Amino acid sequence: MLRYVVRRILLAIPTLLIVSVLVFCLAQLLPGDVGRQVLGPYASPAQVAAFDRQHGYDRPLVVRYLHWLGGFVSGHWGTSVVQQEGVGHLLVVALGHSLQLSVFALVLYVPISIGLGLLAGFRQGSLIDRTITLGGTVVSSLPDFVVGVVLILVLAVGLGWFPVSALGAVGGNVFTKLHALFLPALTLTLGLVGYVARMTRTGTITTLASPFVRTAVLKGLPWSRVVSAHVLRNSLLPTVTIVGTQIGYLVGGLVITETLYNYPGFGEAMLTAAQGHDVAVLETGTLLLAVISMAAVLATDLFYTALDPRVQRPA
Amino acid sequence: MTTVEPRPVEALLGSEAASLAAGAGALPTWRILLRRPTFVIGAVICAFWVFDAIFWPVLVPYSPQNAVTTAAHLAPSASHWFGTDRLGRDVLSRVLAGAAPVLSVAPAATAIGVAAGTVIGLFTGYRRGWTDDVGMRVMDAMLTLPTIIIAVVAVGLLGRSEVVVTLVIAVTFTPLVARVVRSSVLSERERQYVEAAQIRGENALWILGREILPNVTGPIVVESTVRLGYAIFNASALSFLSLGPQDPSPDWGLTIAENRPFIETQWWTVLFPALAIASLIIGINLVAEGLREARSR
Repeated sequence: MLRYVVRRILLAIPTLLIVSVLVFCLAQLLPGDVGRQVLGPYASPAQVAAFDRQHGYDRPLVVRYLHWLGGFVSGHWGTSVVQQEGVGHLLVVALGHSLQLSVFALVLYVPISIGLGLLAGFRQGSLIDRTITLGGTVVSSLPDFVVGVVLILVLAVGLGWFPVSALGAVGGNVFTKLHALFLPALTLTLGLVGYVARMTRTGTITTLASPFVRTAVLKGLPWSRVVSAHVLRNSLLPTVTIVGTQIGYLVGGLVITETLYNYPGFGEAMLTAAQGHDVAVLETGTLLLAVISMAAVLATDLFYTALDPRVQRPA
Repeated sequence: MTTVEPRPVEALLGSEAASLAAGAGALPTWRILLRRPTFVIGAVICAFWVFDAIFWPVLVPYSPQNAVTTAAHLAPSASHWFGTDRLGRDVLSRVLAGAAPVLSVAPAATAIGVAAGTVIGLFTGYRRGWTDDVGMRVMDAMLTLPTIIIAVVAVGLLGRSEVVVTLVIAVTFTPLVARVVRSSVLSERERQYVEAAQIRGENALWILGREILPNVTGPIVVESTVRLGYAIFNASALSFLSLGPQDPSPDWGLTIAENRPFIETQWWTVLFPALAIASLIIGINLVAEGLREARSR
């Protein structure tokens, strides 16, 4: 098992290196030099040169890339010149906020979508099935901010049950947090529910039609036992993979959802950095995100292997 | 001995389209398509918005830029069906005019992305070997990051313009299309007509362009319609994040972002553009679904 994990981590390294090169090259396309960007059009060329030398922007590209990558790996993420704050601190605080929101969203969306998928799968072809399949697909195909706007209009503005902004979730107690984060979490949930429900449904239908379920029924097992011991475990396998790979999409949704609800998370931090040409935060934030999503995929695969002994680990 | 490969959802949905390609590479005829209600309803919705995107100057009741400060914040009424915004501009007129920016960015991005993905997919699928390995590793690296993040970074570094948004969406589509095309090519290249062409001594470009490409158009078209839906999703999301068109533009995403602070008092300024985006995306998805249904029969 350990060898498998190590192998997978080693396999992830080339991909991450390609990502880091892409991100770094993209960052170097920035028009004008960094000193000019920060100091503005009225600084003298000497001042700009001094600034570049002080921050190391006058060194060759490869040296800067290696320095940046080395810094990233060793945890020295530098300082955001634009925001006058440590990149690490800035990103970690933002990630913490996003994590709270994502965990809440996961807690909502995993049981809801699996439940709906199972319901649709067991009642294949019925009205419930068609409603869930079509409804889920439609809702999940819409951008999160469109769904979010409707949720805000109905549940916050119309009924007044929830605040229109999630800003109150920062620093509040657990109850205030949950109350303020409910709508953003629900928005993220609705963005993902369609795919997961559909995968669960397909898994359930395939499993129900398999010979081992027929055998279990024919040998006289009670239906509840067939479902719990034979159907569920097998029908949820594809779902596990999907939940893991959706982490990336969850982050994409976070950017939009956090903006819509004024929540100061990771997406918001990246967006602010983009609008302020904050290269240090953008570079490091993007690479950090790539590491996180690859870790999520790895964790999913390990979980999957544990759940399904048929998936052999290569020796 | 199998390992579990990380597969993004989009790639999974894409491979669904690709798997349908095996055997039936050609497209369904219009007669078959027009009998499918999903396709017809979707096509009607899309046709309405395309018509509107071109002819909005004669459709709008008021000029979408005409700010009448005395008529600001008006709720929907007989003279302003969708109300007016904070500057007194007619919301209905702005919603009708707002189809144009999305419907120029999204199709352009899809066309570029599908073209680039098709070329890469054809070559990597046909050549295999190191072309395939290198090509697919780079594609994998691009797939680790969500489109929105790539767009945020790119717009942050390259500046805010519709050209940047178009190119970003095209670039993020390329690996996804490449995967679908590659998997179709992998099964086509084993067929006898390819072998026949090879024995005739045709060169690789000719075989790819004249023999294999016509046989993989089916999955490419299905993938294009799916991509178009995502392109509109992404284009409107980027405008919402203030990374696309700028202020006086009646773009739907931008309009929603601008009026978001006033959502508690002026619901009509955000609801109608949101419904417009929703209807367009649903229309395109219905067309894509109709195509898939017709092909799977």
